[in-house]
Amino acid sequence: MGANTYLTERERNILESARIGIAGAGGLGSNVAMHLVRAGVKRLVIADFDTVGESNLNRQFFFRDQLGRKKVEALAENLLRIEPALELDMRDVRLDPGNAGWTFSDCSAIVEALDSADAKSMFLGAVLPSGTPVVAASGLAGWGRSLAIGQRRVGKNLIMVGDMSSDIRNGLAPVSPRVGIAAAMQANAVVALLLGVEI
Amino acid sequence: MTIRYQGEETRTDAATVAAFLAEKGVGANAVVEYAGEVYGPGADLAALSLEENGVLNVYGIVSGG
Repeated sequence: MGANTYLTERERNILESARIGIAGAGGLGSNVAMHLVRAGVKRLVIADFDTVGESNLNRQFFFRDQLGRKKVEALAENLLRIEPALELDMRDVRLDPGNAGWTFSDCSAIVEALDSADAKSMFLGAVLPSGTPVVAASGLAGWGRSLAIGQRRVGKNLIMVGDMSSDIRNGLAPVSPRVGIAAAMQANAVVALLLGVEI
Repeated sequence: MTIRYQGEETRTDAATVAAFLAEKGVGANAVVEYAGEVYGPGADLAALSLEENGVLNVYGIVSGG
């Protein structure tokens, strides 16, 4: 049956059969994955090259006893604690223009959850031409202004979440509440896309 | 000509989307939506002509995640 007993059979079938790609397992990606698994998604492709560091614990879905571990390994462990019957394809890889497209080539939707603007741009430039729906994030650093974090559909296949301006390079810290809002909105957009309801 | 840029009517002499965005100081980290089409960062916009009453929106990509 899966973790989410609130779903109808139709909803459960849709969410369980979807394969969702997540680029990055940091503040956005780890929390998007957690939300999607709790929502009923069972098949995930998650790519990240990094390890869990002390500075990640302020917002990312990891724990102190996982410091130093590869993020893809630690995240898989945490997700399986929520729902043991997952089909996880965890890729320990740094995404680049040469591998970004095929890493997520068989996904129903892709979540852009990278950190630097250059990496986000590289990734969107690589995957948008595929036509697969993409949910990206831009502008989520700092405190307050919860309602400034919005979502908008850009064209047919891109949904952008964030305030489009709050940049960690301007001295704003990436902290759990605002990063968490953006991650939850990304996950919610994915579920809405899958179920065919308003994002 | 006049186009609608970020929801506002804007006068420009730029002939292409790339030239207009250069005038506005829009950098490479942006998604561009013009005439209903979406162009990812790095897309070649030099050959994309601006048309009278064209609708152009730019979504800046900033760091954080």
